[in-house]
Amino acid sequence: MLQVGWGMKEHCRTLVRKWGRGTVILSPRDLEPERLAPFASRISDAGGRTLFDPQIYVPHSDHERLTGHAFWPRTADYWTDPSELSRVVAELLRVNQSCQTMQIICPAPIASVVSDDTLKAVAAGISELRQQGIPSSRILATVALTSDALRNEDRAEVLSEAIEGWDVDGIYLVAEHPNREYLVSDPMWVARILDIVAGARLAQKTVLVGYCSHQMLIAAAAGANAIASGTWLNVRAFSTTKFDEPDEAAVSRRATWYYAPHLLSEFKLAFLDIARRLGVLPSLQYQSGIDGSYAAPLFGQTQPTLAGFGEAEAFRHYLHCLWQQVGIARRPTFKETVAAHEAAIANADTGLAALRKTGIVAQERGFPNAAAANRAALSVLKAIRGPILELEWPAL
Amino acid sequence: MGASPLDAALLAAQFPDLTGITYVTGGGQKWVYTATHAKHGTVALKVFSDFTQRTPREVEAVQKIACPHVPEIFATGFLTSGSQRYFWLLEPWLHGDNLRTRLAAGALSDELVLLVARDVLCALSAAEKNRIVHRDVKPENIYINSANTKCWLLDFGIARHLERSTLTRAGAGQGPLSAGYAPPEQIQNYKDKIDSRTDLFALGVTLYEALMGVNPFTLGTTDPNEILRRVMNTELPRPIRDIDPDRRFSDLVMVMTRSRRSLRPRTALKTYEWLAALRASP
Repeated sequence: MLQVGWGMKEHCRTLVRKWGRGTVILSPRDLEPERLAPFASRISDAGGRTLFDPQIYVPHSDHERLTGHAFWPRTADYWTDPSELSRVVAELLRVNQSCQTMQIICPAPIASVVSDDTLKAVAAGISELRQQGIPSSRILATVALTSDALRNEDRAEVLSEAIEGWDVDGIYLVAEHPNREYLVSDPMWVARILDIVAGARLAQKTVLVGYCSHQMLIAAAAGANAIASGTWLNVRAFSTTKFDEPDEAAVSRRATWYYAPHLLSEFKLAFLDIARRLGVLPSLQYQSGIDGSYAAPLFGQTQPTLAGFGEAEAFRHYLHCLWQQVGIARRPTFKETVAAHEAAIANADTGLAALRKTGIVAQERGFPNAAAANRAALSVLKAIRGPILELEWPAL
Repeated sequence: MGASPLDAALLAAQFPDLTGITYVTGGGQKWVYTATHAKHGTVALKVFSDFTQRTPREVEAVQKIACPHVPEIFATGFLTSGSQRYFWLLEPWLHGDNLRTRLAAGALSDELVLLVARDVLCALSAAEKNRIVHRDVKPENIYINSANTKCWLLDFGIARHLERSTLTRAGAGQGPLSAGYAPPEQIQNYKDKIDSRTDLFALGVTLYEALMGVNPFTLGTTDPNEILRRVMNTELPRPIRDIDPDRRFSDLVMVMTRSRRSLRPRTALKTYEWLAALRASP
């Protein structure tokens, strides 16, 4: 799935057309009200479908592009006021209808702790949607958690029980990254996400994980139905600052990165130049079986930094590779799926270590720290949920 | 065996289909007799001096479940002796021992552990289909026949019909339970969280005990508060004995006994199928 961010419209259309399918999650922060429906229509024409993420994670936000939407709540605790909740939901339904979305994402504020109050906010939204005639099969409940909320194991069961009891088709899980890390090094954070995903899937709920990088490919091991990712880091790593900042903070820090899918890492093009000079560029090339046509010029006769691989190609290459990796992230059994992810991590480790010896490093977008976190999280998943996931896998 | 609390002539007049009515055991509010029935053979006649709302629910539960691993109730009724009214029921007489008696001699054989798991899961699956939770699965309530070929799940006395109002007093701190087998949600009396998984926890602990010969929750203590504390605060250790090379049976026991309800198998039927798959594999 494609998580719309700033400047992503054309990328979405191009990729959906290339794939012949795909789901695009519309973002009110990045699309003005009058542009939502026409954009959704173009995605539909390209063969894709849409969802609309209301992004009411921080209801008191005064972000201009959010508050400009009619559905935006007038009060921070809108779900406690029946008439305001009713208005917000009615307006949301209007947007969803105009965009002809496949399901309705029920909004929820981000929770810093899984408390009765935060769960009431979700339940109130679901209840209002049902009252306004939306069948449960069309509702996805937002589960938005800060990194602190995710780490709190004591509340894990409360959340699992709540998700199980919601009268919805599934959940849209949004997890704040700790310490604004892009690739997360905290194994507990990853383990808790896998636990929530597995718990919801075993409770027969659909699970979409939003704002993901390639690190979340392992969500497939917990049975996730889909992950969503985008171009800039603020749609690959969730942070509430995205909804406070007036404009695209990333713009001033633009750099072009090449994603090596087999190394689960991204490299600045200058390091590809060095790799070419050292004769190790082929080890950075995407694996056979991955269509890397967007990145093909990097591995031709021309020096990579001069090969015309710009921002657009980098984004499309990343998302296209991720789309293909998602396609093989799930295997016929739970054990095979976990083994495949463990092997992918081990391969990346080996490849990165060999490159490091030659001085080629992925810097802050390298996978080693995330690899350790993912490996530990898979171990926890196997120990806690493994036997049941193995048993239930065909039905998930 | 003591003297019958009820007059023999009264019983003979009340139950013309029964011959050789003999008092076996009793205490408190329940007396058990054995007799011979022309159609059903040897039967157990249970007479209750305290007729509560639970008694008809227990009978209804058993009749709805209609599973070969839950003893059938052939008939029920009332009899009067003096000013006292008694409720009675007629069941098959089971030849064998309860699991508690068997465990007095130590852990069970692999075959017997599997038999208990299979037959009780079959009973719980049938209960689940009828939206009934037993709530008191424990060795005392599991009966094994003398030939070691069949088990029954007994005593639906505190069973909960999920679609009925609760019989536990509102605001009660704790509902009825057996310490050491009841899971956290039952200890905390979270009525809306009582479902098949409650029984799966209790059966998991029972299977652990059948496998290892001890119940770690009750080991070395008879203090109910200490037992409940252990259940609330600890997970069962993995059994060091297993009955298959891949340790899938102990996986099953571990998963059934998770204190987090959401980590247990979702249904008794799924667990039964899991066990069947385990038994079918080489």
